[in-house]
Amino acid sequence: MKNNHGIRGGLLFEPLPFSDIEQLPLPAQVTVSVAANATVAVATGEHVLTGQPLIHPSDNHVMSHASLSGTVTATTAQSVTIKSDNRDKPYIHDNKPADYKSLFQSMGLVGLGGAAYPAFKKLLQSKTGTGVNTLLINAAECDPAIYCDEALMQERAADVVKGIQVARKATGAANCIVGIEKNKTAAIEQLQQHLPANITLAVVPAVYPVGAEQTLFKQCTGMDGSLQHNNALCFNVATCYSMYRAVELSQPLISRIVTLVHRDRAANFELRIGTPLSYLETATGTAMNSRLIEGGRMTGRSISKDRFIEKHTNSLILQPEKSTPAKPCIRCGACAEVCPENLYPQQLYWHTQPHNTVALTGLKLEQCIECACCDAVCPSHIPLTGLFNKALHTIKAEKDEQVKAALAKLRYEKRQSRLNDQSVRERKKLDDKTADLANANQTTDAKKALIAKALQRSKNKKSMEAGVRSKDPDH
Amino acid sequence: MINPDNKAINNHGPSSVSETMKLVLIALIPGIIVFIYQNGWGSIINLLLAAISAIAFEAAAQKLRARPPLVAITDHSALVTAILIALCLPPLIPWWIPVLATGFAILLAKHAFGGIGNNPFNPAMVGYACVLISFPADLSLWLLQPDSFSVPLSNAISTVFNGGLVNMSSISTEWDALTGATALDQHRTLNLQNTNADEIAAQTRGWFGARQGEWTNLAFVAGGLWLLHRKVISWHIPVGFLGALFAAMLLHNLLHDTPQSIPVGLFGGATMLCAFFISTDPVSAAAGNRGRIVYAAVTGLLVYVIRTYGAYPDAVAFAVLLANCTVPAIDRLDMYFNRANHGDKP
Repeated sequence: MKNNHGIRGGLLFEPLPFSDIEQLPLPAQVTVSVAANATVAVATGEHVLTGQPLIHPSDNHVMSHASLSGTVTATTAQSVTIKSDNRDKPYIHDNKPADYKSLFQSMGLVGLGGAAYPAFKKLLQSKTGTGVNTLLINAAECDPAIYCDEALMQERAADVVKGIQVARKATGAANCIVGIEKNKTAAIEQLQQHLPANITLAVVPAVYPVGAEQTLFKQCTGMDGSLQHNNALCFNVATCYSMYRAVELSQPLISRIVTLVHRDRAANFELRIGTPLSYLETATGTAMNSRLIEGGRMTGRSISKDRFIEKHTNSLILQPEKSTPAKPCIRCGACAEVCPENLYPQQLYWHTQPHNTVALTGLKLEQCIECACCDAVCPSHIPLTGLFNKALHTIKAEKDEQVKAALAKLRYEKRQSRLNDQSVRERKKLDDKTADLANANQTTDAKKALIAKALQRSKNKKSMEAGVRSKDPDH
Repeated sequence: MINPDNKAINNHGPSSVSETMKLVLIALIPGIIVFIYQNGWGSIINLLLAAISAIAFEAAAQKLRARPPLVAITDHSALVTAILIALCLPPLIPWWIPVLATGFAILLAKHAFGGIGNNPFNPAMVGYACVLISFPADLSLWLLQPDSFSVPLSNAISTVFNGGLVNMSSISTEWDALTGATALDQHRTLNLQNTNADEIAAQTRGWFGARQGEWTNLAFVAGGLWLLHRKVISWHIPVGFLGALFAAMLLHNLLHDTPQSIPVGLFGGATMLCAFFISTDPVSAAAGNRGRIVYAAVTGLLVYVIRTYGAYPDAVAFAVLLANCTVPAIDRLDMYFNRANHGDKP
């Protein structure tokens, strides 16, 4: 079904009223997460400055920075806790790396749209093959509980546009498109004022999940296929803003804007990375006695309130506990109506009970973007997206297993053929010898010649032995 | 989903299975009223017997399968099955026929296959088909209209609990004057006798459709349109079904000397009940919209074929059950074409 907004499937939501970006006083302490495989470079008791590097990151991960100045009170393999000295004294980043990749890595830049994928790794991807053709800037925040990007664009459009230009320079993309939802009128107005002529502003329908990278790409360019296939790259608009701060102001990523949704109102706060969620509770006066969801209304996950603000924390929702038990599927097809990828969720669901890889692959499960539209409309309240995610993991594990098995088989077959070759060679040698002998036995002349040869050999030997003996002084 | 309260504003469909079933029950009300008006006390007894036994069977089956018995009753699906069965049965049949029919429907067609959502066949039609094959004499005796309510309640009850109309008319002849064939039945008999078209029309047509059937059918259309409006069903199945039936009858009339009456065909028997309430059962229908059109068209064609060449004047039950058999194949083909559409070779 194509609805009247020119997008297949999807859901329409009434946007919530949201506030401007608010600054809260600094928290008394922060706990900054540390990337996996990194070694912590600071010790307990050490004094650090705001923005000071905390770790030696691995090649695949970004740097973590102290998000305020103070004393390190605890370090673990996963996090560094810093007690604020309330001065917020900045660390001076001299000897800035010259190339964008190392710069983005050392400044701790990750995708702020929610996935927190290291920005420098996207640049690495772009260098394989023919380079980046299209740079897509994702400004289409479509989840009904996330407003941090919209607030950012309304208030800091000039810097956002500078960031987009940094991203463009870093990727070397020929085309640059900013995709934004139609209902963000104030943000569109702001961007139009600041965007240069060589960057296109594509206004897309305000339908969830138009902000999904793949959906937005198709909507903005009309091109089918994956971004990678089309030599395209996508950065979130807030990521671009952090690029501007990193490149032009030498500020690492130590804060982000977070939307807090409570009782159908959304408030935006600029918070330091590592701020405890309990601090948010006291500073905003919002009692967190109900369930807390991180990552948006549609695809968010329930988290505990003793966690911290991470680089991927775009939204926090406070809502009462409510659970509706899943009932059997009645095949009503509501899920297929809203699926933006034109899949048959009900058929997919059927083939996850029990798991059937062949059928799931046949129904194109791998195209699922896990937007959770089907979950939202299911009258039986079946957690479809969760099941699909699990099924995708199962299929991936199966594939890995198959690859491993195939490798082992190949190794075994090679060894077998090697052993085989060896035995064939040995057999051939033996066969040649036997054949020589057999040939020799057949003809008498040859026999005689052989005998003569043998006699000659023994004669020579004897005479040699005699010669040796005559020279021996003892005899 | 994280928050069930967060309703999208373009999603107007029912929010739960029990709401779906409740809306179906509400949509059936006009049809039920007209049906009762036309068939008298006997139909009320049928509805009550079917409803009570369906709930009892459902609860028993849930209990046997170690599931909470109350949940299945609160989702109203057993009640929908019972009412669909009762709307197919003639009044004044022995009391155990509706009970047996719902028993077949709930126990055999539904729970033996794994309960709601897992039945390959439409439970109501399985129940009705079972009793139709077993007791054809009882199920072909309908009361002449508009005399239905002339049979008093006490009389109706004693008939139902004494072997039904078949048994009673074998004892005394006073019932013969009250019973009569349905329009579809008569239409079929006259057609087999090669009666001319005008004569058939005169005997079977009511105001605009089938005598004894047009008003119930019209009431079902009204309920069905409301279901469409509430997005409980989509247009694909009613349109596919009625379209195929209409097209088949039109083609028949072009090719044959003895034409079929299209108003009788569309507004007789259970045609509209099938179009909006029976074949629209999502569980036993095809999965996608494209598949549903094919599935409904198959049902419509089968109704025409069985009515024209088969032994049963109203073919809805058998047509739906046979079409249910084709659903896995339709889904498979749909998947095949869907893959072809996605641009890679299947």
